[in-house]
Amino acid sequence: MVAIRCKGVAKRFGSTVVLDGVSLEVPDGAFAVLVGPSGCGKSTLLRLLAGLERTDLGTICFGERDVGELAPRERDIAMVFQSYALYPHLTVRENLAFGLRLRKTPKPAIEARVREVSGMLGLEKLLDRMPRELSGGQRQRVAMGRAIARRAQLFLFDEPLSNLDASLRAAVRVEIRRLHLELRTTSVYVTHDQVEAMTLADVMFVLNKGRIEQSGAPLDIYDRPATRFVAGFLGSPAMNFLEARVATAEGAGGTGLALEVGAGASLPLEPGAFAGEVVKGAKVTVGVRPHDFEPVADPNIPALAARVVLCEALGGETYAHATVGEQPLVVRLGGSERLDPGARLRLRAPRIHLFDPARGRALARPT
Amino acid sequence: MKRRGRAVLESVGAHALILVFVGFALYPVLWVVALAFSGNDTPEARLLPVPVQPTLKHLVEVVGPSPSGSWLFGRQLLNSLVVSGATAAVGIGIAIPTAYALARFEFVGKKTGVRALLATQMFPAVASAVPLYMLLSALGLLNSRTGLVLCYASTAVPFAIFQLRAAFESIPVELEEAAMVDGATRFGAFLRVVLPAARPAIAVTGLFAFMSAYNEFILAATLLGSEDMFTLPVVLQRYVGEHSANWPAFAAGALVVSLPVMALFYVVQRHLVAGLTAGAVKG
Ligand SMILES: Nc1ncnc2c1ncn2[C@@H]1O[C@H](COP(=O)(O)OP(=O)(O)OP(=O)(O)O)[C@@H](O)[C@H]1O
Ligand SMILES: [Mg+2]
Repeated sequence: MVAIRCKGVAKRFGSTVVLDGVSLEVPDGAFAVLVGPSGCGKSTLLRLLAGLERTDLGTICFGERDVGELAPRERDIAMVFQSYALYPHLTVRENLAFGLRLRKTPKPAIEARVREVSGMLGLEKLLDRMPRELSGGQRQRVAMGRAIARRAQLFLFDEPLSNLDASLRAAVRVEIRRLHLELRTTSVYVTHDQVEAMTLADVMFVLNKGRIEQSGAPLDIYDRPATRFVAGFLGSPAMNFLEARVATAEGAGGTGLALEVGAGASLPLEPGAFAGEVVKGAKVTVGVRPHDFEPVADPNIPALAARVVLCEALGGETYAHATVGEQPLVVRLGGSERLDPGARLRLRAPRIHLFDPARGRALARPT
Repeated sequence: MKRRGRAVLESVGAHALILVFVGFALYPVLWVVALAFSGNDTPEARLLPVPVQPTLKHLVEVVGPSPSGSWLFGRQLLNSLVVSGATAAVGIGIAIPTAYALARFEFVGKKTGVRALLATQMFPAVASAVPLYMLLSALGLLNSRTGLVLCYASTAVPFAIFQLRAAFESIPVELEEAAMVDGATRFGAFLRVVLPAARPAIAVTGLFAFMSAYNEFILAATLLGSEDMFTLPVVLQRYVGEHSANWPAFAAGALVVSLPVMALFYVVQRHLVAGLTAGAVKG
């Protein structure tokens, strides 16, 4: 167990810059999640931590120790690969014991550890099988087991669940969380699945184009995204973004301000919808999560007029896809509500985010 | 019931068909067997390959000790096995590290090297018989097993390299990385993970090198001068020389010569479990 500190880590392959000055700190015993879109450099960062690649610039420290020059085997880490990478010629038992054997652990100790790990992960009945005789989910558990068996000071996971189907993924996700609470080993977990990121992370790092866009506790990031990218990346369905201009509201009362969205539609700014300064006439990008819209029935209350394109009923909730002028919107409705295509939908937004349209920085966020 | 009857009929039909093909493939071999154990000296054309006046005399003639009392055939068999075994060992020994380097590393001259290797494959080995003869002569290795092994290995290596490179390329790099993270050095990962995973390919490649050497005639006949250095193909050929043809002895010899290869196939077959890397990755 160890804290990790990266400072200004840069990595390029040929002329493509993959990581561009990444600094991050993971406290001892924390479960850190690196999340970001495909190709943003998550795996590369993980491989740098593992020592499978070398940094071009910057330092990586485990605790007080700079590990930049250390080979993977000297870093005392365990890694779960996206492809599992089980040794195909060894049984499950031998796979679990492989790392311990290499480290010259005494035989009885290996056996005890294998028994313990296979008990934790329910692998007892599979110990004498070959990897090719296992299902995908079982292979995944063996890969986890192999990492746990070593009792390394740091666990690295590279999208370990992406090859599993949805229900298994949910189950293993819970399992990983449980194991972490039990073992308390510092972990770095890479994923591009935001549900995994939100549910597993003690501390989350959102990576975009080789840079860390935002870091912190997952709910903090969700509630207060620092950039439009982060706001759009976290949350499903994604946050709605509307290009707008700050103008005077038509009716009296409220803040007296509204956001002109175009095509004659405008969204009244409600008092307390956000904290931050806006200047009349400024161009902004408005961000509203699908569940932060509320339909307005009373025609006398000013509201944003949208036109329904279609409704998706998921049972517990319904998502209405709509447009305002040319701009698309997704609105969450109650589970039993239905709207026909073409219907008018009037919306208020009690919680909004505002972003700088040019640079994507957050200007204002919900209170 | 009806469906069951049809399944039985289909099965019978399929087996009959297979039998026909097996018979077709085995017929010449059975003829050799019949010839080897027949007592009449001049083979006659008959339909059924069964021995006439069954006898073991041809077998004894070929395999038995020579009149001088030494066991020449034994020595020649040993020559063949040693030369073929050494060819396979040397070939594989050189090809494994080369193929691994080609599969995993980028280095200056890689492309050129591969092309040069490929080029050597375009010429039949016979084409180099004369230069080889002169080279071995200069080295004092004519009429020696070492010389023959050198020649065979030089033709076996390029092919083995291509075979094994493909095999190594099909082994996911993550396996090695996992081993290195688990505590192995780069070489340790190669030894403990890559080599075992490539075992079927290595077995096949080795078997192929062995067989090529075991069956090779022209170079052996050119480079070996004395009877006690002969390999089996050269020995066999002598039974059907220009002036006389002792077919029954040739047949008996052919049978005996096939035995080691059959045994080897039987042993190696266990290692040929298809897709040994299956299960390493994904689900
Ligand atoms: N060995 C390499 N050589 C050249 N380019 C590479 C290499 N490894 C990665 N890259 C490039 O670096 C970028 C980041 O790759 P990386 O694998 O870190 O992405 P990722 O965030 O893990 O994506 P994904 O979610 O798809 O796994 C990609 O554009 C990729 O093409
Ligand atoms: Mg990746």
